[in-house]
Amino acid sequence: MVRAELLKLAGLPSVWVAVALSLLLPPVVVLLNARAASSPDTGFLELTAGVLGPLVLGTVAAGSEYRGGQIATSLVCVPSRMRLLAAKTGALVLSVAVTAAVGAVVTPAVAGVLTGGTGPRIAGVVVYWVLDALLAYGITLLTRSGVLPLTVLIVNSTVVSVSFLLTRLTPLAAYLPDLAGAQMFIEPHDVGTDLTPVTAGLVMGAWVAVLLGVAAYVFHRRDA
Amino acid sequence: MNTARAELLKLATLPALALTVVLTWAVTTLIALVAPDGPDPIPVVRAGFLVLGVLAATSEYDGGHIHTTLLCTPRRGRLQFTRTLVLTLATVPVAVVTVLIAGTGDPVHLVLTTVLAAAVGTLLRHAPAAVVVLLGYYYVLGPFVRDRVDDSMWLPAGWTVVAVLAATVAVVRRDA
Repeated sequence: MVRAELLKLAGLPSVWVAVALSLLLPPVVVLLNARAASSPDTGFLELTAGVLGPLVLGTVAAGSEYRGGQIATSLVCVPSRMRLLAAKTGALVLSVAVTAAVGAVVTPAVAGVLTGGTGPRIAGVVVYWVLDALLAYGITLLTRSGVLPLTVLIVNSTVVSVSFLLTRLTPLAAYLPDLAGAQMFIEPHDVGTDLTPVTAGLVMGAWVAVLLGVAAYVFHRRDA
Repeated sequence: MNTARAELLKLATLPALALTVVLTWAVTTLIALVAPDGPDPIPVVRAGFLVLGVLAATSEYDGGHIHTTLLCTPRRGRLQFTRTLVLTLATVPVAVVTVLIAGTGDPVHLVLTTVLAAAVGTLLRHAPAAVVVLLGYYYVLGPFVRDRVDDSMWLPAGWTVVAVLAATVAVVRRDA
C-alpha cells in the first residue's frame, strides 16, 4: 500500500517540480549570495528557502486526491481509511526524508561549510522538512484544497513571518511550530526564547502530532 | 456591459474570494494592533491580494466553468479585457480599506499585484501552482535576490502589463 502511494506521488508532475525546487533553490540562493558576509548560519539559512518543496509535496500528497474525485477510487481500493491514511503518510515521510537528506548535504557543500560537525544540523534540517511537509499535509486534509495551507505556510516560513511578529506580543510565540522547528538547525535571532535543537524538534513534533490527529479524525468521519 | 455585470456577480458571490478578503483584513488588523510602531504589515498582507487574484482567475478552470463562460461570451479578447477591468475595479475598495487599516502602503500597488496574480492564474489554470509560483517568488526567492534587482514602482506596473498581455493571448489562442 505504501508502494501504491509512492507510485501515486511519483506519477504527479508537481511532485517532481517540488523535489527539483527543494534541491535547486537553496544552492542557487547560496551562489547568488556568495559575496555576502558569511555567518554561522551560511548554508543553513538558505535551506529555509528549500522548504517550499516539502510544503508543495505535503499539499499535493493530500490535495491531489480531491481533484477529480480520486479519493473515491482510493477508498474503494482501500476501504480502511486509517490504513489508507497511514500508507499515504508513510509514503510522504519517506519521499520528503530522502529529498531533505540530499538537499541538506548539497547546500552546505556548495556553501563550503560541510564539515564533520554539521551532522546534527543536517539531521535537524531533515526533521524540519519532514515535519513541515506533514504540517502542510494535515492542513490540506482538513481544507481539501491546497491554497490555504500553501499561503499560510509559505508566508510564515519567510522573513515577514506572522509568527515572528507575534514574538513581539508574547514570548510564547517562540513555541509556534515554524519558529520552534527552525531552531533545530539555525541560531535563533531574537525570538526571545532559546530552545535547544531537541526541545525544538519535540515542540514542532507535538504540533504536527496534534494536527495529524485532528486531520485523521476528520478524514475518518467525514464523507469523502 | 452584460459581461461586466456577469463577471462582477461571479466575483461577488464566490465564497473563497470573500473569505480571502476577510482573512486579509483580519491579518492586517492583527499586525497593526500587535506592533503599531513595528514592521510594515503590507508585505505580509500582499499575500492576500496575490491569492485573491489567483482565485478570481482560476475559479473559472475548476470544474470547467470556463466552457459555460465562453459559450455565453464567445469573443475571448473582449471577455478577458472585461474580466481584467472588473477585477481591477473590484479590488480597489479592498485595497483602500486594507491601506486604511494598516495606516501605510499604496493601494495602487496592491491592485496591480492582484491583477498580476490573476494573469498568472489564467496562464497556469491551476490555483495551487499559481500560488506556489507567486508566493515563492515574492516571499522565498525574492528576499534573496532583491538586492540584485531594482524593486521600484515601474516593476510591478511593467510586469502586470506583460502578464496581462500574455494571459490575454493565451485565452484567445489556447484550447479552453
